[in-house]
Amino acid sequence: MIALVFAVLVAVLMGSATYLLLQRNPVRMVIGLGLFTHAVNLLVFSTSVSHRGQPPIVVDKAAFNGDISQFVDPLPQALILTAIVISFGIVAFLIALLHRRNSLEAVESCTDRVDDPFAMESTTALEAVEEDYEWLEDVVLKRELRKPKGKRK
Amino acid sequence: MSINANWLAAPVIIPLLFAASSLLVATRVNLRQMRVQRNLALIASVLNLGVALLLLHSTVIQDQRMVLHAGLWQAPFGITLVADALSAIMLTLTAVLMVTIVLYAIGTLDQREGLNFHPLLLFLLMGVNGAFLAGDLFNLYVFFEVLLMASFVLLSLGGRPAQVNGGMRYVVLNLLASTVFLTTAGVVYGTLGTLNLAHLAVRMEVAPLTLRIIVAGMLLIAYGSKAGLFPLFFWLPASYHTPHPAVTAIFGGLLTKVGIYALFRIFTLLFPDLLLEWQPLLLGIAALTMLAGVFGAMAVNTIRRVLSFHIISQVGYMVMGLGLASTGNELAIGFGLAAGIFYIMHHMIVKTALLMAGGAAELTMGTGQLKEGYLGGLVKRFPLLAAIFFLAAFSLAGLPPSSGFVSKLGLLQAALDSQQWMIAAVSLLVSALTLMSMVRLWQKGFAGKQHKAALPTPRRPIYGFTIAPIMILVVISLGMGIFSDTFIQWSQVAAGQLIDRAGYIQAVAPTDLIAPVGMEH
Repeated sequence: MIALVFAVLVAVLMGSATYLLLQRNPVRMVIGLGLFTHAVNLLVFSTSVSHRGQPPIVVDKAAFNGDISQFVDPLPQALILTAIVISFGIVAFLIALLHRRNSLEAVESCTDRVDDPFAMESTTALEAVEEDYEWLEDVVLKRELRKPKGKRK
Repeated sequence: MSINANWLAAPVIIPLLFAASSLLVATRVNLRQMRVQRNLALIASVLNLGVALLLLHSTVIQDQRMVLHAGLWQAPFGITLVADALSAIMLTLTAVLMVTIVLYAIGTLDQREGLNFHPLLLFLLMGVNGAFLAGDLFNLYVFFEVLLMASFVLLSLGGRPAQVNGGMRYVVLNLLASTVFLTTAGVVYGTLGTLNLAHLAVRMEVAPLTLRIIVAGMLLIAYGSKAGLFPLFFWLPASYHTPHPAVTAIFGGLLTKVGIYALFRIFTLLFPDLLLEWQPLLLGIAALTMLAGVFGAMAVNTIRRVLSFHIISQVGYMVMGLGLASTGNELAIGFGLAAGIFYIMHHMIVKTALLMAGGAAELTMGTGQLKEGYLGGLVKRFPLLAAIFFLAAFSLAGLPPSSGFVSKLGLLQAALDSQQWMIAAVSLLVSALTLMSMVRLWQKGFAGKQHKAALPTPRRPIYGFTIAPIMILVVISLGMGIFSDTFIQWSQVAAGQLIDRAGYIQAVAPTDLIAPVGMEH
């Protein structure tokens, strides 16, 4: 019975995670990833067979006969602990990346300034080209494309 | 000479110690601190190379396995580190690449990317080394995550718009793949009650076929997307060209190969029978990966984008080696695997050299754009760089006497021996297309005349430190081609140890005390 509850919970979590991951909004994607990792953690947890009920501690050592069938398996909890830390770290990094992306949208408008044919000769623009070749390469190309066809080499 | 098994912990501990201490040393962010970090990284990578060579000697040359039971816990209960010939070969190649990349970084890194580049590189090294040594599924997962975490940060170091966009895709898709991996670990533990690879190899034999297929399929998806196999490779060309060339070079050389290593290890150890049953699947994936990579390379127009698409097509060749491992007779099995392993060795060296040289050209000229004559004239301006690029491209395309020729010949021979005509034809076709693509890179990027300049004057590549590491790698590649006997013999030893599953199980010697949980009800 407990196994069924776990299975349904994992399925619901994974289903909603998949739905969120398929959205275009990156914030929803991050939430989806968080849900996905939680679903998997729950799945690993369900392997510890908690229906047995006893904590894996031998109280009376003399009476212990090696029968472990009543004990909950402690290993999956250790595994989940590791997995939680890892997924937490990655999701945190993803959020930082998202923040950077949002703050870069202000920078995107700066590229328009470089894109301006009159601003190109200024020193700031040249420095930017030197520092940031890959990104500005697109800008240079775009300017080329805007020229009438005959002028292109 | 045989060394103590405790040395197995060194490839994990050395980078960790040096990375942590170089983070502690660099309290403020300036050039002097960067230099301290770089020196620490250099010491660490040389030490790591030394340890890797020791391990190579005692596993490959003496043809044996080394096992470390951490804290003397018996096999399925503790953390087990195992080094066999394949692990040692991968460790050594990684160590060589690390030394060269630290040298290359001296010549190319500027302050913007230089901040904490070296500690991150060492964390990456720790993760990669750990993944090669891990003796159980969960530690493999953990080390995968360690190297992915380091790679996430390395990829977005510098924080440019393109990097952030590429980084998002990279992180999301890799996290998904890792989650699939963790799910598989959960399923395996819930049904078979163990995560130790040797123990799993014993229990997987008696497991029901459905379970074996589910586990193998999920692992194929997880590792396949990390290795950049056919339907799952889209994160790679979206992100690999965005970071600093030093980062691209080390990623291109190392990361996908960890996924390939895991595929080799898991399929030979746990699913030798599926290797035979799934041969059409594996060979089909290999062929599609090769074709997708090489056609993708034709469609893009900057040096590093072309080269990152070629990573994909090359990964296809390695999977072809794995797919050919399953042919009927005992002799041919070893030959296909050995050819695949030799291909991995060749590829790691040559790809890194090419990405380094291409990256140096991009840095010098200010752009990697192949169209419209931004890059022409490199042959005259920087003849040494052009010559090295030519040699490396030569090797990637598989012309004699380079290592690329020998490795492709080996795979082709294995394919013909096992009468897999389709894959043989595809591999030849892709080889020709790769040559074409390399010629295009050469013509558009290096030869010819420069029509337009992205920078007012090309920056001079700082010759000593930019060129020397590339030269080292190219010389190694040529050496692997000319003295190929030794290297083929090494890969045959590695393949032999992969096939000898009983030897692996015996070396780890897991005790089978507790019955698997899933079997009781």
